[in-house]
Amino acid sequence: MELSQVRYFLALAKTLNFTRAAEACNVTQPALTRAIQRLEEELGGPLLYRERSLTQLTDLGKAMLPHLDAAYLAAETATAQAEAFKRRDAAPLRLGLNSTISAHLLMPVLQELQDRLKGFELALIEESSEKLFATMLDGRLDAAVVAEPVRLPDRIDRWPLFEDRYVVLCRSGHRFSNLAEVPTSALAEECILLRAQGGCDFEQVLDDLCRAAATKWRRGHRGGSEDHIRRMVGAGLGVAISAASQPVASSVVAVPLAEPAAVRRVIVTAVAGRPHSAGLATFLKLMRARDWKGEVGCH
Amino acid sequence: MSLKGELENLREQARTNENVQMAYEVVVNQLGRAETAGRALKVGDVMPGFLLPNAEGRLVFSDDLLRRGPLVINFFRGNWCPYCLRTLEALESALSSIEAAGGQLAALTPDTGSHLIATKRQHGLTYEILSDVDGAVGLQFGVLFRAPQRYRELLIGLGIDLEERHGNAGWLIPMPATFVIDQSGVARYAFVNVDFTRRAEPEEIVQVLHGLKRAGCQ
Repeated sequence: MELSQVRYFLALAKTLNFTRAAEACNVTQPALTRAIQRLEEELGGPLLYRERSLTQLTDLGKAMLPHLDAAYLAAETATAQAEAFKRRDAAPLRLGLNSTISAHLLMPVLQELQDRLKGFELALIEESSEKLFATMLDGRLDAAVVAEPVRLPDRIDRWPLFEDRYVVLCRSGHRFSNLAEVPTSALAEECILLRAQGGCDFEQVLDDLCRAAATKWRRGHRGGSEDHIRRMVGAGLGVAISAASQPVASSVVAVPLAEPAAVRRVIVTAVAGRPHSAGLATFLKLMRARDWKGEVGCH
Repeated sequence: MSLKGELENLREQARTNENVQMAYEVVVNQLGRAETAGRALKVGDVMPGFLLPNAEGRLVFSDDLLRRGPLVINFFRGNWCPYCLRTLEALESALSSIEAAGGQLAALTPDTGSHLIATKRQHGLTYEILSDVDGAVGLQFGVLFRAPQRYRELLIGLGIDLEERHGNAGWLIPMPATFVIDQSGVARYAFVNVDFTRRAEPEEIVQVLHGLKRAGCQ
Protein backbone atom coordinates (compact mmCIF):
# COMPACT_ATOMS: atom_id res chain seq x y z
CA MET A 1 0.00 0.00 0.00
CA GLU A 2 1.04 3.55 -0.61
CA LEU A 3 1.28 6.22 2.07
CA SER A 4 -1.10 8.46 0.07
CA GLN A 5 -3.72 5.68 -0.15
CA VAL A 6 -3.64 5.33 3.62
CA ARG A 7 -3.93 9.11 4.01
CA TYR A 8 -6.97 9.17 1.70
CA PHE A 9 -8.61 6.34 3.61
CA LEU A 10 -8.05 8.07 6.95
CA ALA A 11 -9.54 11.31 5.56
CA LEU A 12 -12.55 9.36 4.29
CA ALA A 13 -13.02 7.58 7.61
CA LYS A 14 -13.04 11.00 9.29
CA THR A 15 -15.31 12.89 6.88
CA LEU A 16 -17.39 9.96 5.49
CA ASN A 17 -17.65 12.07 2.36
CA PHE A 18 -15.62 11.58 -0.84
CA THR A 19 -15.76 15.24 -1.88
CA ARG A 20 -14.64 16.57 1.49
CA ALA A 21 -11.95 13.88 1.84
CA ALA A 22 -10.56 14.77 -1.61
CA GLU A 23 -10.50 18.47 -0.65
CA ALA A 24 -8.77 17.69 2.64
CA CYS A 25 -6.12 15.67 0.80
CA ASN A 26 -5.79 18.22 -2.01
CA VAL A 27 -6.54 15.71 -4.80
CA THR A 28 -9.37 15.32 -7.29
CA GLN A 29 -12.25 13.13 -6.25
CA PRO A 30 -11.72 10.60 -9.09
CA ALA A 31 -8.06 10.23 -8.04
CA LEU A 32 -9.09 9.61 -4.44
CA THR A 33 -11.80 7.16 -5.48
CA ARG A 34 -9.35 5.20 -7.68
CA ALA A 35 -6.77 5.03 -4.91
CA ILE A 36 -9.37 3.74 -2.44
CA GLN A 37 -10.58 1.12 -4.94
CA ARG A 38 -7.01 -0.16 -5.31
CA LEU A 39 -6.61 -0.26 -1.55
CA GLU A 40 -9.85 -2.24 -1.28
CA GLU A 41 -8.59 -4.74 -3.86
CA GLU A 42 -5.37 -5.10 -1.90
CA LEU A 43 -7.18 -5.59 1.40
CA GLY A 44 -9.60 -8.06 -0.14
CA GLY A 45 -12.95 -6.26 0.25
CA PRO A 46 -14.80 -2.93 0.40
CA LEU A 47 -13.74 -0.51 3.13
CA LEU A 48 -16.81 1.74 2.70
CA TYR A 49 -20.46 1.42 1.84
CA ARG A 50 -21.15 3.92 -0.91
CA GLU A 51 -24.79 4.86 -0.70
CA ARG A 52 -26.23 7.99 -2.29
CA SER A 53 -26.54 10.06 0.84
CA LEU A 54 -24.55 7.99 3.24
CA THR A 55 -20.96 6.79 3.26
CA GLN A 56 -20.13 4.39 6.09
CA LEU A 57 -17.20 2.20 6.98
CA THR A 58 -17.73 -1.52 6.41
CA ASP A 59 -16.68 -4.03 9.05
CA LEU A 60 -13.39 -4.46 7.16
CA GLY A 61 -13.02 -0.66 7.08
CA LYS A 62 -13.62 -0.46 10.82
CA ALA A 63 -11.20 -3.32 11.46
CA MET A 64 -8.47 -1.75 9.31
CA LEU A 65 -8.86 1.79 10.65
CA PRO A 66 -6.77 1.43 13.84
CA HIS A 67 -4.00 -0.46 11.99
CA LEU A 68 -3.80 1.98 9.11
CA ASP A 69 -4.03 4.92 11.50
CA ALA A 70 -1.12 3.51 13.53
CA ALA A 71 0.93 2.74 10.41
CA TYR A 72 0.36 6.24 9.03
CA LEU A 73 1.32 7.83 12.34
CA ALA A 74 4.45 5.65 12.48
CA ALA A 75 5.48 6.72 8.95
CA GLU A 76 4.83 10.41 9.66
CA THR A 77 6.74 10.18 12.94
CA ALA A 78 9.63 8.41 11.19
CA THR A 79 9.90 11.25 8.66
CA ALA A 80 9.85 13.90 11.38
CA GLN A 81 12.34 11.88 13.41
CA ALA A 82 14.84 11.60 10.52
CA GLU A 83 14.51 15.32 9.76
CA ALA A 84 14.94 16.32 13.42
CA PHE A 85 18.02 14.09 13.61
CA LYS A 86 19.51 15.77 10.54
CA ARG A 87 18.79 19.27 11.90
CA ARG A 88 20.22 18.24 15.31
CA ASP A 89 17.06 19.49 17.02
CA ALA A 90 16.58 19.45 20.78
CA ALA A 91 15.36 15.98 21.82
CA PRO A 92 13.89 16.11 25.33
CA LEU A 93 12.84 12.80 26.90
CA ARG A 94 11.03 12.53 30.24
CA LEU A 95 11.25 8.96 31.31
CA GLY A 96 9.80 7.14 34.32
CA LEU A 97 10.87 3.89 35.89
CA ASN A 98 8.89 1.75 38.25
CA SER A 99 10.80 1.56 41.53
CA THR A 100 11.37 -2.19 41.13
CA ILE A 101 13.15 -1.76 37.79
CA SER A 102 16.81 -0.90 37.89
CA ALA A 103 17.99 2.03 35.80
CA HIS A 104 21.05 0.01 34.76
CA LEU A 105 18.85 -1.85 32.26
CA LEU A 106 18.23 1.33 30.32
CA MET A 107 21.78 2.62 30.26
CA PRO A 108 22.85 1.14 26.88
CA VAL A 109 19.79 2.74 25.23
CA LEU A 110 20.29 6.07 27.00
CA GLN A 111 23.98 6.00 26.12
CA GLU A 112 23.12 5.48 22.45
CA LEU A 113 20.70 8.42 22.54
CA GLN A 114 23.38 10.54 24.23
CA ASP A 115 25.96 9.57 21.58
CA ARG A 116 23.71 10.09 18.57
CA LEU A 117 21.08 12.75 19.35
CA LYS A 118 22.84 16.09 19.58
CA GLY A 119 20.05 17.77 21.50
CA PHE A 120 19.25 14.89 23.87
CA GLU A 121 17.92 16.14 27.24
CA LEU A 122 16.92 13.43 29.70
CA ALA A 123 14.81 13.67 32.85
CA LEU A 124 14.57 10.32 34.66
CA ILE A 125 12.23 9.70 37.58
CA GLU A 126 11.38 6.71 39.78
CA GLU A 127 7.82 6.14 41.01
CA SER A 128 5.10 3.54 41.47
CA SER A 129 3.46 2.42 38.21
CA GLU A 130 0.17 4.12 39.11
CA LYS A 131 1.86 7.47 39.65
CA LEU A 132 3.87 7.06 36.44
CA PHE A 133 0.69 6.45 34.41
CA ALA A 134 -1.05 9.43 35.99
CA THR A 135 1.96 11.65 35.25
CA MET A 136 2.08 10.42 31.65
CA LEU A 137 -1.64 11.07 31.12
CA ASP A 138 -1.11 14.58 32.55
CA GLY A 139 1.49 15.17 29.84
CA ARG A 140 4.41 15.52 32.25
CA LEU A 141 6.10 12.26 31.28
CA ASP A 142 6.77 10.77 27.80
CA ALA A 143 7.30 7.08 28.55
CA ALA A 144 7.54 4.68 31.46
CA VAL A 145 9.10 1.27 31.96
CA VAL A 146 7.05 -0.85 34.35
CA ALA A 147 6.43 -4.51 35.19
CA GLU A 148 3.30 -6.55 34.50
CA PRO A 149 0.98 -7.64 35.99
CA VAL A 150 -0.12 -4.04 36.42
CA ARG A 151 -3.42 -2.19 36.03
CA LEU A 152 -2.97 -0.35 32.75
CA PRO A 153 -5.24 2.64 32.06
CA ASP A 154 -7.12 2.50 28.72
CA ARG A 155 -5.18 5.21 26.99
CA ILE A 156 -1.75 3.66 27.47
CA ASP A 157 0.12 1.79 24.71
CA ARG A 158 2.34 -1.04 25.88
CA TRP A 159 5.18 -2.97 24.26
CA PRO A 160 6.54 -6.09 26.00
CA LEU A 161 10.33 -6.16 26.37
CA PHE A 162 11.22 -9.33 28.28
CA GLU A 163 10.12 -11.87 30.87
CA ASP A 164 11.82 -11.45 34.21
CA ARG A 165 11.82 -14.26 36.82
CA TYR A 166 11.18 -13.41 40.45
CA VAL A 167 14.04 -14.36 42.75
CA VAL A 168 14.72 -14.55 46.47
CA LEU A 169 17.67 -12.48 47.64
CA CYS A 170 19.57 -14.05 50.52
CA ARG A 171 22.94 -13.65 52.19
CA SER A 172 25.65 -15.98 50.83
CA GLY A 173 25.78 -19.01 53.08
CA HIS A 174 22.04 -18.81 53.77
CA ARG A 175 20.20 -22.16 53.46
CA PHE A 176 18.67 -20.97 50.17
CA SER A 177 21.94 -19.90 48.62
CA ASN A 178 22.89 -23.31 47.20
CA LEU A 179 19.42 -24.18 45.93
CA ALA A 180 18.59 -24.09 42.22
CA GLU A 181 15.11 -22.77 43.07
CA VAL A 182 13.26 -21.77 46.23
CA PRO A 183 9.83 -23.39 46.78
CA THR A 184 7.16 -20.98 48.01
CA SER A 185 6.51 -23.14 51.07
CA ALA A 186 10.08 -22.52 52.28
CA LEU A 187 9.39 -18.76 52.53
CA ALA A 188 7.09 -19.27 55.54
CA GLU A 189 10.08 -19.74 57.84
CA GLU A 190 11.82 -16.55 56.78
CA CYS A 191 11.45 -12.88 57.70
CA ILE A 192 10.90 -11.09 54.42
CA LEU A 193 12.23 -7.57 54.04
CA LEU A 194 9.78 -5.05 52.67
CA ARG A 195 9.99 -1.87 50.65
CA ALA A 196 8.83 1.12 52.68
CA GLN A 197 6.71 2.44 49.81
CA GLY A 198 4.72 -0.84 49.73
CA GLY A 199 2.35 -2.02 47.03
CA CYS A 200 5.11 -2.98 44.58
CA ASP A 201 4.98 -6.07 42.36
CA PHE A 202 7.46 -7.89 44.64
CA GLU A 203 4.97 -7.88 47.52
CA GLN A 204 2.08 -8.62 45.20
CA VAL A 205 3.74 -11.76 43.79
CA LEU A 206 4.56 -12.92 47.30
CA ASP A 207 0.92 -12.57 48.32
CA ASP A 208 -0.26 -14.37 45.19
CA LEU A 209 2.21 -17.26 45.45
CA CYS A 210 1.63 -17.79 49.17
CA ARG A 211 -2.13 -17.74 48.67
CA ALA A 212 -1.80 -20.35 45.91
CA ALA A 213 0.49 -22.50 48.10
CA ALA A 214 -1.83 -22.01 51.14
CA THR A 215 1.06 -20.66 53.16
CA LYS A 216 1.81 -17.33 54.87
CA TRP A 217 4.83 -15.07 54.84
CA ARG A 218 6.23 -13.09 57.75
CA ARG A 219 6.88 -9.38 57.49
CA GLY A 220 10.42 -8.37 58.34
CA HIS A 221 12.23 -5.04 58.45
CA ARG A 222 11.50 -2.26 56.00
CA GLY A 223 13.93 -0.57 53.64
CA GLY A 224 13.45 2.74 51.87
CA SER A 225 15.20 1.82 48.61
CA GLU A 226 16.52 -1.15 46.65
CA ASP A 227 19.98 -0.25 47.93
CA HIS A 228 18.73 -0.48 51.53
CA ILE A 229 17.15 -3.87 50.84
CA ARG A 230 20.30 -5.29 49.23
CA ARG A 231 22.47 -4.10 52.12
CA MET A 232 20.03 -5.45 54.71
CA VAL A 233 19.98 -8.85 52.95
CA GLY A 234 23.79 -8.82 52.82
CA ALA A 235 23.93 -8.11 56.55
CA GLY A 236 21.59 -11.01 57.29
CA LEU A 237 18.58 -8.94 58.39
CA GLY A 238 16.29 -11.13 56.31
CA VAL A 239 15.58 -12.28 52.76
CA ALA A 240 13.81 -10.26 50.06
CA ILE A 241 11.92 -10.76 46.82
CA SER A 242 13.47 -9.26 43.71
CA ALA A 243 13.72 -10.05 39.99
CA ALA A 244 16.47 -11.69 37.92
CA SER A 245 17.15 -8.51 35.95
CA GLN A 246 18.01 -6.55 39.09
CA PRO A 247 21.67 -6.10 40.05
CA VAL A 248 22.92 -7.90 43.19
CA ALA A 249 25.78 -7.07 45.57
CA SER A 250 28.63 -9.60 45.95
CA SER A 251 27.48 -10.66 49.44
CA VAL A 252 23.98 -11.42 48.17
CA VAL A 253 22.74 -14.45 46.21
CA ALA A 254 19.65 -14.38 43.96
CA VAL A 255 17.81 -17.72 43.73
CA PRO A 256 14.77 -18.05 41.42
CA LEU A 257 11.39 -18.86 42.93
CA ALA A 258 10.32 -22.36 41.91
CA GLU A 259 6.79 -21.67 40.69
CA PRO A 260 6.49 -21.25 36.91
CA ALA A 261 4.05 -18.39 37.56
CA ALA A 262 6.72 -16.41 39.39
CA VAL A 263 7.55 -14.32 36.34
CA ARG A 264 6.86 -10.70 35.56
CA ARG A 265 6.93 -9.03 32.18
CA VAL A 266 8.82 -5.79 31.75
CA ILE A 267 7.09 -3.43 29.34
CA VAL A 268 7.63 0.06 27.96
CA THR A 269 4.57 2.30 27.85
CA ALA A 270 3.50 5.64 26.35
CA VAL A 271 0.20 7.48 25.99
CA ALA A 272 -1.85 6.10 23.07
CA GLY A 273 -2.76 8.40 20.20
CA ARG A 274 -0.47 11.22 21.29
CA PRO A 275 2.16 12.25 18.70
CA HIS A 276 5.63 11.04 19.61
CA SER A 277 8.42 13.61 19.71
CA ALA A 278 11.63 12.69 17.87
CA GLY A 279 13.30 11.88 21.22
CA LEU A 280 10.47 9.60 22.33
CA ALA A 281 10.13 7.91 18.93
CA THR A 282 13.86 7.14 18.83
CA PHE A 283 13.83 5.88 22.43
CA LEU A 284 10.87 3.57 21.76
CA LYS A 285 12.46 2.16 18.61
CA LEU A 286 15.70 1.41 20.41
CA MET A 287 13.83 -0.21 23.30
CA ARG A 288 11.63 -2.32 21.05
CA ALA A 289 14.41 -3.46 18.71
CA ARG A 290 16.76 -4.44 21.55
CA ASP A 291 17.83 -8.03 22.19
CA TRP A 292 16.58 -8.08 25.79
CA LYS A 293 16.53 -11.86 25.95
CA GLY A 294 20.25 -12.06 25.23
CA GLU A 295 21.03 -9.16 27.49
CA VAL A 296 19.02 -9.99 30.57
CA GLY A 297 19.39 -13.73 30.09
CA CYS A 298 15.68 -14.23 30.73
CA HIS A 299 13.22 -16.17 28.59
CA MET B 1 23.54 -22.72 -7.33
CA SER B 2 22.08 -19.29 -8.18
CA LEU B 3 19.58 -17.73 -5.79
CA LYS B 4 16.95 -18.24 -8.46
CA GLY B 5 17.65 -22.00 -8.47
CA GLU B 6 17.54 -22.24 -4.67
CA LEU B 7 14.23 -20.37 -4.55
CA GLU B 8 12.85 -22.64 -7.26
CA ASN B 9 13.66 -25.67 -5.07
CA LEU B 10 11.87 -24.07 -2.10
CA ARG B 11 8.88 -23.32 -4.31
CA GLU B 12 8.76 -26.96 -5.47
CA GLN B 13 8.76 -28.14 -1.85
CA ALA B 14 6.00 -25.67 -0.92
CA ARG B 15 3.80 -26.87 -3.80
CA THR B 16 3.45 -30.25 -2.12
CA ASN B 17 1.61 -28.64 0.82
CA GLU B 18 -1.87 -27.66 -0.27
CA ASN B 19 -2.46 -25.33 2.67
CA VAL B 20 0.76 -23.41 2.02
CA GLN B 21 0.08 -23.28 -1.71
CA MET B 22 -3.47 -21.91 -1.25
CA ALA B 23 -2.34 -19.19 1.17
CA TYR B 24 0.48 -18.26 -1.22
CA GLU B 25 -1.96 -17.93 -4.12
CA VAL B 26 -4.25 -15.68 -2.07
CA VAL B 27 -1.37 -13.29 -1.41
CA VAL B 28 -0.07 -13.26 -4.97
CA ASN B 29 -3.49 -12.94 -6.60
CA GLN B 30 -4.85 -10.30 -4.23
CA LEU B 31 -1.76 -8.08 -4.46
CA GLY B 32 -1.42 -8.74 -8.18
CA ARG B 33 -5.01 -7.60 -8.89
CA ALA B 34 -4.48 -4.46 -6.85
CA GLU B 35 -1.21 -3.74 -8.74
CA THR B 36 0.42 -3.20 -5.37
CA ALA B 37 3.99 -3.61 -6.63
CA GLY B 38 3.47 -0.83 -9.20
CA ARG B 39 2.98 1.79 -6.49
CA ALA B 40 6.24 1.19 -4.62
CA LEU B 41 9.27 3.51 -4.88
CA LYS B 42 10.39 3.66 -8.53
CA VAL B 43 13.63 4.33 -10.35
CA GLY B 44 14.11 8.10 -10.29
CA ASP B 45 12.22 8.59 -6.98
CA VAL B 46 13.99 10.06 -3.97
CA MET B 47 14.32 7.68 -1.04
CA PRO B 48 12.81 8.83 2.25
CA GLY B 49 15.56 9.20 4.86
CA PHE B 50 15.43 6.93 7.91
CA LEU B 51 16.88 6.55 11.39
CA LEU B 52 16.54 2.96 12.59
CA PRO B 53 18.02 0.71 15.28
CA ASN B 54 20.25 -2.13 14.07
CA ALA B 55 20.62 -5.66 15.46
CA GLU B 56 23.35 -4.47 17.84
CA GLY B 57 21.14 -1.76 19.35
CA ARG B 58 22.83 1.17 17.60
CA LEU B 59 21.08 3.86 15.56
CA VAL B 60 21.75 3.88 11.83
CA PHE B 61 21.01 7.01 9.79
CA SER B 62 20.47 6.57 6.06
CA ASP B 63 22.51 9.70 5.21
CA ASP B 64 25.53 8.21 7.00
CA LEU B 65 25.26 5.04 4.89
CA LEU B 66 24.87 7.05 1.67
CA ARG B 67 27.96 9.12 2.48
CA ARG B 68 30.02 5.93 2.19
CA GLY B 69 28.57 4.87 -1.18
CA PRO B 70 25.41 3.85 -3.03
CA LEU B 71 23.06 1.92 -0.78
CA VAL B 72 21.46 -1.44 -1.48
CA ILE B 73 18.28 -1.74 0.60
CA ASN B 74 16.65 -5.12 0.97
CA PHE B 75 13.24 -5.36 2.61
CA PHE B 76 12.61 -8.80 4.08
CA ARG B 77 9.70 -10.28 5.99
CA GLY B 78 11.55 -11.87 8.89
CA ASN B 79 13.61 -14.89 9.81
CA TRP B 80 10.45 -17.00 9.72
CA CYS B 81 10.46 -16.77 5.91
CA PRO B 82 12.70 -19.38 4.17
CA TYR B 83 12.81 -17.35 0.93
CA CYS B 84 14.06 -14.33 2.88
CA LEU B 85 16.75 -16.38 4.59
CA ARG B 86 18.11 -17.79 1.32
CA THR B 87 18.14 -14.26 -0.07
CA LEU B 88 19.92 -12.84 2.99
CA GLU B 89 22.54 -15.59 2.71
CA ALA B 90 22.97 -14.98 -1.02
CA LEU B 91 23.48 -11.27 -0.27
CA GLU B 92 26.13 -12.18 2.31
CA SER B 93 27.92 -14.26 -0.34
CA ALA B 94 27.76 -11.28 -2.69
CA LEU B 95 28.80 -8.76 -0.04
CA SER B 96 32.44 -8.54 -1.08
CA SER B 97 31.38 -7.93 -4.71
CA ILE B 98 28.85 -5.30 -3.56
CA GLU B 99 31.51 -3.53 -1.52
CA ALA B 100 34.11 -3.85 -4.29
CA ALA B 101 31.62 -2.05 -6.54
CA GLY B 102 31.47 0.73 -3.91
CA GLY B 103 28.10 -0.29 -2.43
CA GLN B 104 26.71 -0.49 1.12
CA LEU B 105 24.10 -3.05 2.13
CA ALA B 106 21.29 -2.83 4.68
CA ALA B 107 18.38 -5.22 5.17
CA LEU B 108 15.17 -3.95 6.80
CA THR B 109 12.56 -6.09 8.56
CA PRO B 110 9.51 -5.24 10.68
CA ASP B 111 10.77 -7.78 13.25
CA THR B 112 11.82 -6.38 16.64
CA GLY B 113 13.61 -7.63 19.76
CA SER B 114 15.90 -10.65 19.75
CA HIS B 115 14.84 -11.74 16.24
CA LEU B 116 17.31 -9.33 14.61
CA ILE B 117 20.50 -10.56 16.23
CA ALA B 118 19.24 -14.16 15.93
CA THR B 119 18.91 -13.69 12.15
CA LYS B 120 22.45 -12.33 11.93
CA ARG B 121 24.06 -15.00 14.09
CA GLN B 122 22.20 -18.03 12.76
CA HIS B 123 22.89 -17.13 9.15
CA GLY B 124 26.37 -15.61 9.47
CA LEU B 125 25.33 -12.18 8.21
CA THR B 126 27.81 -9.33 8.61
CA TYR B 127 25.93 -6.44 7.01
CA GLU B 128 23.44 -4.13 8.73
CA ILE B 129 20.11 -5.67 9.74
CA LEU B 130 17.75 -2.85 10.74
CA SER B 131 14.48 -3.03 12.60
CA ASP B 132 11.83 -1.12 10.64
CA VAL B 133 9.72 -0.73 13.78
CA ASP B 134 5.98 -0.61 12.91
CA GLY B 135 6.89 -0.79 9.21
CA ALA B 136 7.25 2.99 9.09
CA VAL B 137 9.94 2.98 6.39
CA GLY B 138 8.30 0.14 4.45
CA LEU B 139 5.10 2.18 4.21
CA GLN B 140 7.04 5.20 2.93
CA PHE B 141 8.68 2.98 0.29
CA GLY B 142 5.21 1.65 -0.62
CA VAL B 143 6.22 -2.00 -0.06
CA LEU B 144 4.02 -2.79 2.91
CA PHE B 145 0.82 -4.84 2.74
CA ARG B 146 -1.54 -6.43 5.23
CA ALA B 147 -1.30 -10.21 5.26
CA PRO B 148 -4.66 -11.57 4.01
CA GLN B 149 -6.67 -13.60 6.51
CA ARG B 150 -5.85 -16.92 4.84
CA TYR B 151 -2.16 -16.14 5.09
CA ARG B 152 -2.45 -14.94 8.70
CA GLU B 153 -4.14 -18.22 9.59
CA LEU B 154 -1.36 -20.19 7.92
CA LEU B 155 1.33 -18.31 9.84
CA ILE B 156 -0.49 -18.63 13.18
CA GLY B 157 -0.88 -22.35 12.49
CA LEU B 158 2.88 -22.55 11.98
CA GLY B 159 3.47 -20.75 15.30
CA ILE B 160 4.59 -17.53 13.60
CA ASP B 161 3.06 -14.72 15.61
CA LEU B 162 3.69 -11.44 13.83
CA GLU B 163 1.98 -9.48 16.61
CA GLU B 164 4.67 -10.65 19.01
CA ARG B 165 7.46 -10.15 16.47
CA HIS B 166 6.33 -6.69 15.37
CA GLY B 167 4.96 -5.43 18.68
CA ASN B 168 1.74 -4.33 16.97
CA ALA B 169 -1.45 -6.00 15.75
CA GLY B 170 -1.30 -4.74 12.15
CA TRP B 171 0.06 -7.88 10.41
CA LEU B 172 1.76 -5.56 7.95
CA ILE B 173 4.64 -7.16 6.08
CA PRO B 174 6.79 -5.96 3.20
CA MET B 175 6.69 -7.35 -0.29
CA PRO B 176 10.20 -8.59 -0.95
CA ALA B 177 11.91 -5.58 -2.45
CA THR B 178 15.44 -4.50 -3.29
CA PHE B 179 16.51 -0.98 -4.18
CA VAL B 180 19.81 0.55 -5.19
CA ILE B 181 19.98 4.16 -4.07
CA ASP B 182 22.68 6.48 -5.41
CA GLN B 183 24.56 8.86 -3.14
CA SER B 184 22.16 11.71 -3.89
CA GLY B 185 19.33 9.54 -2.50
CA VAL B 186 17.74 8.70 -5.87
CA ALA B 187 16.61 5.13 -6.63
CA ARG B 188 18.58 3.71 -9.57
CA TYR B 189 17.21 0.18 -9.39
CA ALA B 190 13.99 -1.19 -7.97
CA PHE B 191 12.89 -4.81 -7.67
CA VAL B 192 9.48 -5.27 -6.09
CA ASN B 193 7.44 -8.44 -6.55
CA VAL B 194 4.13 -9.41 -5.01
CA ASP B 195 5.33 -13.01 -5.31
CA PHE B 196 7.45 -13.46 -2.21
CA THR B 197 9.18 -16.49 -3.72
CA ARG B 198 10.92 -14.29 -6.30
CA ARG B 199 13.84 -12.05 -5.40
CA ALA B 200 16.41 -9.80 -7.01
CA GLU B 201 19.54 -11.71 -8.06
CA PRO B 202 22.58 -10.40 -6.16
CA GLU B 203 24.59 -10.53 -9.41
CA GLU B 204 22.14 -8.06 -10.97
CA ILE B 205 22.58 -5.69 -8.01
CA VAL B 206 26.37 -5.85 -8.38
CA GLN B 207 26.00 -5.01 -12.08
CA VAL B 208 23.85 -1.98 -11.22
CA LEU B 209 26.51 -0.78 -8.76
CA HIS B 210 29.23 -1.21 -11.40
CA GLY B 211 27.07 0.75 -13.82
CA LEU B 212 26.76 3.59 -11.31
CA LYS B 213 30.51 3.53 -10.74
CA ARG B 214 31.24 3.70 -14.47
CA ALA B 215 28.76 6.53 -14.92
CA GLY B 216 30.47 8.34 -12.05
CA CYS B 217 27.17 9.05 -10.37
CA GLN B 218 27.76 7.34 -7.08
